[in-house]
Amino acid sequence: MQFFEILTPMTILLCSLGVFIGIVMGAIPGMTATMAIAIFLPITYALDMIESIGLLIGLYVGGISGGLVPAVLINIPGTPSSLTTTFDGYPMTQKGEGEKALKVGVTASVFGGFFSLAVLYFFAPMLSTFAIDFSSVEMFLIILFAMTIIASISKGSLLGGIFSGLLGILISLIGTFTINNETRLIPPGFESELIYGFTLLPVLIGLFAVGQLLEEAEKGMKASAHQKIKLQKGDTKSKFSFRLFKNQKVNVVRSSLLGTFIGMLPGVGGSAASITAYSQAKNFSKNPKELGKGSPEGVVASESANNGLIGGALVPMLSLGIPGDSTTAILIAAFLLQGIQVGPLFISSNPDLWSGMVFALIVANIAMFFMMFLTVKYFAKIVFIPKYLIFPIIIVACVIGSYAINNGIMFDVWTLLLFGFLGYIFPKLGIQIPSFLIGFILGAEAEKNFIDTLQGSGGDLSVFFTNGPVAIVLWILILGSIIFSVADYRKGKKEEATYAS
Amino acid sequence: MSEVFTIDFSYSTSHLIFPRIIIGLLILLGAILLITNFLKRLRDQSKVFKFKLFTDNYDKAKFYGSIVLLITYAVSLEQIGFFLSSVIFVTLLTLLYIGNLKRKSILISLVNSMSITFVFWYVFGQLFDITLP
Amino acid sequence: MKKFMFIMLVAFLSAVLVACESGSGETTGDETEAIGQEEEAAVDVDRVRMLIGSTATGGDTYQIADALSRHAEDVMETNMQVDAVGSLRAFDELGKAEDDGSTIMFFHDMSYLGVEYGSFGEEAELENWTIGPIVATNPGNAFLTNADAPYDTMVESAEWLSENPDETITVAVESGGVSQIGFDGFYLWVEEEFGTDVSDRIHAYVTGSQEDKNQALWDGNADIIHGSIGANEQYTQDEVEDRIKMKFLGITAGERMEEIEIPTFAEQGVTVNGDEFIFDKEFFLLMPEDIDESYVQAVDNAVEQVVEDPSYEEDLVTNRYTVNHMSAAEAEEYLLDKRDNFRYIIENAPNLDDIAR
Repeated sequence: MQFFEILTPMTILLCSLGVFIGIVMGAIPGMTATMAIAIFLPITYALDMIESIGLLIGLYVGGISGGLVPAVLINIPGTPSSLTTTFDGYPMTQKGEGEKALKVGVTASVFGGFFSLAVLYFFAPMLSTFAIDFSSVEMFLIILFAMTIIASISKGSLLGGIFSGLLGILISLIGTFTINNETRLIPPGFESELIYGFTLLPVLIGLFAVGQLLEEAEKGMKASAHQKIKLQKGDTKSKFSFRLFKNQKVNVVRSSLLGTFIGMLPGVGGSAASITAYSQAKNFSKNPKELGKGSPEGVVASESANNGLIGGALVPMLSLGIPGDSTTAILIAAFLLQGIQVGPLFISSNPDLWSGMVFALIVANIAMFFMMFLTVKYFAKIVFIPKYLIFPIIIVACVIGSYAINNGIMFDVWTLLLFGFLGYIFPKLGIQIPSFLIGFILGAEAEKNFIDTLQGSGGDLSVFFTNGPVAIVLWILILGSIIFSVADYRKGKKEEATYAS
Repeated sequence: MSEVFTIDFSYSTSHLIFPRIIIGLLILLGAILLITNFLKRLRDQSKVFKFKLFTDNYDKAKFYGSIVLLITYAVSLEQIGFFLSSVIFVTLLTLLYIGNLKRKSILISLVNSMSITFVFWYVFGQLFDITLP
Repeated sequence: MKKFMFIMLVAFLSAVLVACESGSGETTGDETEAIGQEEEAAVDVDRVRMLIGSTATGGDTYQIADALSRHAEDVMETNMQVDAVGSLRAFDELGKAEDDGSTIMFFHDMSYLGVEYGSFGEEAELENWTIGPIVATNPGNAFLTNADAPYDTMVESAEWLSENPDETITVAVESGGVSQIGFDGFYLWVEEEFGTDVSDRIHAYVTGSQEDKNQALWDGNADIIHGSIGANEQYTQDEVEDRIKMKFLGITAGERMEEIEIPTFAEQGVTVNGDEFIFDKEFFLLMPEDIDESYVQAVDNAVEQVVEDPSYEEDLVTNRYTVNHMSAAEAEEYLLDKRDNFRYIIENAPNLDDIAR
C-alpha cells in the first residue's frame, strides 16, 4: 500500500485541521478530545471513510496533546488525562521554565504517540485476544494499582491522602448503578439532577480553575512572582534541549509502554494511563523527592503515557470491537455510520482503511509536534497575561464546556461552581485535591469491575487472589508500589525532622 | 476462613455493596485521623488548635465579590442568555480584579468581555454548533 | 498593554466581519423556510433535539436515529441533533421539555418494557407521551454462545441442560430491556416444557452494554449472551480466532432475515403459555404529551416521505435493520397492544435476585 495512494492531499489537510482544532479544544479548559470528536461525528457522514478517519484521528491526537498547555501554564488540566502533568508542569512554570516544560511535554507526547503506533502496527493482530486475558478481577487490580499513586503524591499526611482518595471514590458513586439501575447516595431533593451522578469534567475544572480563582481572589489577584520573571534570560537551566531526554530514555519507554498497555484494557479508563506512569516514574526515579516540585521527569511520564494511550486504545477496538476508552467509543460510531464493522476481521477485510488509519496517525503525530513545538514560544506568553484578564476568560470557557458536555445541562454549571468552592475549601480542611480527583476518576470503574467479579463468583472474594498468575503479579506490583511510596514518605519525613532540629 | 471472604451478593442490592465498603473505610480512617491528631495535641501542648479559614488580611471585596458574581452569572445565564450575561459578568469581574474605576480600566474590561464573549459565541455556538446556555 | 489592546481589537473586528458574512448566508436559509411552509411536513422550530434512550453512539438506537434525523431534517426544514443522553435522562428531559416540538425522543420497546420491569418510574409510561410513528425494526435481536458450545439453538441448549443434570447455563442480559424479555420468554418456556429442576439451573448475569456482554462470554462469566446480528455477526465468521468465535442460537423476531439464516425462537418451538414467542424490536418516536396536533401531523407526513426514500432504506440495510412504518395513530394502538401481550411474561418472569449469580 502506497502512502499517497491512500492518503490524498485532502485527507492530510483534514487530518492537520483536526489536529489544530483538537489542540485548541484540548487547550481550552472545559473542552476535551472526546467532545471535539463528538462534535465532528455527524459531519463525517458527508466525507469518505479515509478522510473522516483522518479528521477524527487528528482531533483525537490533537485533543489529548493540547491538554498539556493549560496544565503546565495555569495549573488547570485541559483534559482529565493531563491531570498528572500539572504536578510538575506548573511548578516548572513557577520557576520560570514554562516554555521548557511545554517543549518537554510536546516531545514526550510525540514519542508516546509513535511508540504506541509501533505497538499497534506490529502487534495489533497478535494482541487481539490479549484483552480477554484480563477479566474483571485483573481490571479491578489494575485500577487499584493506579490508585497507589495516592500514597506517593500525598503531601503532609499519608492517611489524609488516602482519606481524600476514598472521599473522591464515594462522591463518584453518587447516582445510578448501571448494572441494576438503582440509585444511591443521592441527597434528597436532587433525584433528577444527580440521576447519573456528577459529571467528571465540571468537577475537574471546578476544583482546579474555579478553586484557583477563589484562592487568588482571596489574595487580591496580585501578579505571581513567576509572571515577573523574564523567560530564558540566557541561563541554560531554563532552556530546552533534546539532550534533556538523554537520561530519560527508560522513563519515556516505561511511561509510553504503561500508557499503551492501559489503553489496551477496556474498562480501566484512559486517565489511569498517565496516573500509573507518573507514580511509577516517581517510584523508579533517582530523585523521587524532586517529582512534584517541577521536575521534567514528571512531565515526561505523564505526557508520553497519555499519548501512548491512543495507540493502545485502538488495539481492542480493532481486534475485538471493544473501545479502549471513551474517545475510541465514538470512533467506532463513525465506522458504523458508514456501515463498517469494527472487530476481529476489520484489519483483514479492510486493509486500505487499516493502512489509512496508521498513516493518519503518523501524519497527526507529526503535525501535532510541529504545530505545538513551533508555537510554544507564543503559547508560553499566556502566563504573562494579567490575571484580571485571563481568569474571567477561563471561567467563561469552563462554563461553556460544562454546559455543553452533556448537551445543555444547567446542573453541570452548578456542579462546576460547587466543586470550585470545594476546591477552595478542601486544602484548608486538609483534603488533598489530586488524591480526591484520582479517587473520583477511577471510582466508578473500580466499582463496576468489583461487582462484576462478585457476580461471577457468587460473592466469593478469594477470586481476587486465586484467579491465576496475572492477578498474583498485579498484587505484587500493588504491594511493591505501596511499600516503595511509604518508605519514601517516611524517609522524607525523617529528613524533614533532622532539618528542623 | 472462606466465610470471611464471602460477601452476600444479591442482584437487587448490588448497588449498595461498594458504597458501604467505602463508607466503612472512610469512617475507620476518619477515626484514626481524629485520634492521632488528638494524641499529638496532648503530647505537644504548645500547638493550640487554631483553624483559619482565610489567610491574613484576605481581600474581602474580591473574594466575596467573585462568589456573588459567579452565582449571579450562573443564574442570569438561564434568564437572559449566554451573550448578554457573559458580557456583563466578564466586565464586572475584570473591573473587580483591576480594582478601580478609571476610564482605562473600564475600557479594558469592556473590550475584554465583548471580544471574548463574541469569539466564544461565534466559534462554539455557530461554527461548532455546541449548545450554549 | 497598548499592543495587547490593539491585538484584541483586531481580533474582535475580524470576528465581526466573519460573522456578518455568515449572517447574510443565514437569511437566505430563512427565506427558503418561509417558502416551504405550504408543505405540511415542515415545522416552525428551527432546531429539533432528538433525545435517544441510549448513551452508546455505536448502538442500533443511535444509528437508526442518525439515519432518520438526517433524512427527516430536510423534509421538515429544520435542524435535527441526535443526543445520546441515555434512557433515564431522556425521559426526564422529555418530561420537562416545552410542547413546541423542539425536544423529542427516539427509542424502542424498552421504553415501555422498562416501566413494566420497574427500571423506569411510572412517569415514563406510554400514556404520558404522545406516541409518534414507528420507523424501523432491528430484526436481528439474538442470543449467541461460544462457537464450540455443545448446542446450536436455544431449544438444544435446554435439551442439553436437561440431559446433563450437573450443568448450569448463565445468560448475560441487561436488566429491564429487550434482552430481558427474550431471556424471560426462554426461561418460562423451559419451565413449562422441562420443569423447574431444569429451569432452576438457568442463571442470569446482569450487565450493561454489548461490549460488556461479549466480554462476559469470553471471560467465562456467561455461557449465552444477548446480542444482535448487526453487532455480533462479525464474530461468527470462519476467520475469527477460536477464542473469540461465537455462534447464533436464535433470533426473537417473527421471521428469519434473508441474508443470514438463523432460526427464530418461534420456529424452534419456543412457546409461552401456549403462544409462539415472537418479539420484534421496533423503533419509534415519543413526544411531549401536550404537543400540538399539527406538529404530530407534520412528523407523520415527514416520516411517510422518509420511509419512501431509497437512501434511507439503504442506510438502514447497511447495518442490517429494516424499514417498518406505522403512522402515529396506528403505532399508538399497536404498541399499547404489544405491551399488553408481554405483560403475561413480565408478571410471571423469574425475579433477577433469585436467578442472578
